[in-house]
Amino acid sequence: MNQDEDVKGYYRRMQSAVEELLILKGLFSRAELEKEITSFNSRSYVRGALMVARAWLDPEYKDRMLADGGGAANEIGLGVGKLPLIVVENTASVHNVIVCTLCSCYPRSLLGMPPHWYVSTEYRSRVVREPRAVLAEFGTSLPDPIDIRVHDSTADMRYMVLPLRPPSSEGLSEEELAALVTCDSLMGVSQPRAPGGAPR
Amino acid sequence: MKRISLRAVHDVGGLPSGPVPRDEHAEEEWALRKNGLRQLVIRSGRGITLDELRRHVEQLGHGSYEALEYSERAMHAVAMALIEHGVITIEELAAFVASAPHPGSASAAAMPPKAAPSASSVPSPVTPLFQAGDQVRVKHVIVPGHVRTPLYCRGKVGTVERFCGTFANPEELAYGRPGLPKVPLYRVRFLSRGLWEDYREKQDDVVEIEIFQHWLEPHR
Repeated sequence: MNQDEDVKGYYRRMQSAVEELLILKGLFSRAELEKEITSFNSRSYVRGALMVARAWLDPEYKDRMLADGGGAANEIGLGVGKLPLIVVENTASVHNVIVCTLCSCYPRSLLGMPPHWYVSTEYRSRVVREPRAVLAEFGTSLPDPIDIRVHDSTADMRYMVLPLRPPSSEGLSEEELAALVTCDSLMGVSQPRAPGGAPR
Repeated sequence: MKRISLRAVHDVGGLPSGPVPRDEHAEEEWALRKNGLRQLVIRSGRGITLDELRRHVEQLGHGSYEALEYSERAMHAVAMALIEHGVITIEELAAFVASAPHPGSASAAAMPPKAAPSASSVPSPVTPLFQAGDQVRVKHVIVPGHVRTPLYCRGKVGTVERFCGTFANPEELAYGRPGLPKVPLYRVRFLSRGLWEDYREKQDDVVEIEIFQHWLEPHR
């Protein structure tokens, strides 16, 4: 067995050991744990996509979302509790990008676990210093007049981007619009998909 | 001057690094279980805070921090916090990891949850000194321990974008203390070219960072 396999096996065993110990000690029951595992891992970026689609269609919802992101999530039944979520809006002049340089803060209670790239040291190191170079790796280029606003999520707030609605998306239903919103576009490294096509 | 030695292992903003990895893979089963376990540990009433978990990740040290994957670092932190709070012992963990349970010691009576401070003993939050639009400078100090002010903004001048409210002090929470009185938190906007002398992208690009009041001084 090489050392890498050893390390991986060690943390797997540690996870199961801690689980068993805490159940034995009565911190929670096995049923409570299974319920939490299922409920936590069922959350995904799709919940954020629903908020974005609603905001694209309903300007008043958008205003409430920009004023209080957590409240806007609860309003459509996403049950995030008191999440201090700041939603930042992309415009014709500003593009927002989210990072946590110190760890990997992410609105988990809304969107579930972050993607692999988001927690990588490479992303966390570089996006505050060369955001356009990082976006280019995601195939994203921004028109010249647009300034970048990088948000380093260092403390108690959590962030989500409200991307620009794709052109030629008039007449689409809320569901169809939500399907255009990608996980990456909610963190600002890419744009939503174009209707009927690949990510633009 | 050994500048690099002052940078904490997790404080990576602005460091040179390679291409962002783009291989998305489904999380492994054990990592999915760890996610739920971690949530229940935070909510267990044993006083284990997110900032403590962060501190344990930060204390991994160079080498281990880079070598371990994200989920492994998170699992390490959960185990360390449980040990530090006396919920489990190192011996118990070792025994269970080796699949050789010691039922006698593990079934010790559950400890009572840490009592919440009573309402009368909670000090009032620190008064906010700044408001949106104020010019501030981030204190240029190097301190040990768990701090949430990235190295790359220390000593830099920015503009308060908004006051976020008052929050328990993470520098205290990380060591199992209540972090009171609550301290004001701001989002401060910095010009990217002010943060990085060699910034090559656009003139008006900015970085916004959440910074607690005790790290800020007025700049006029």
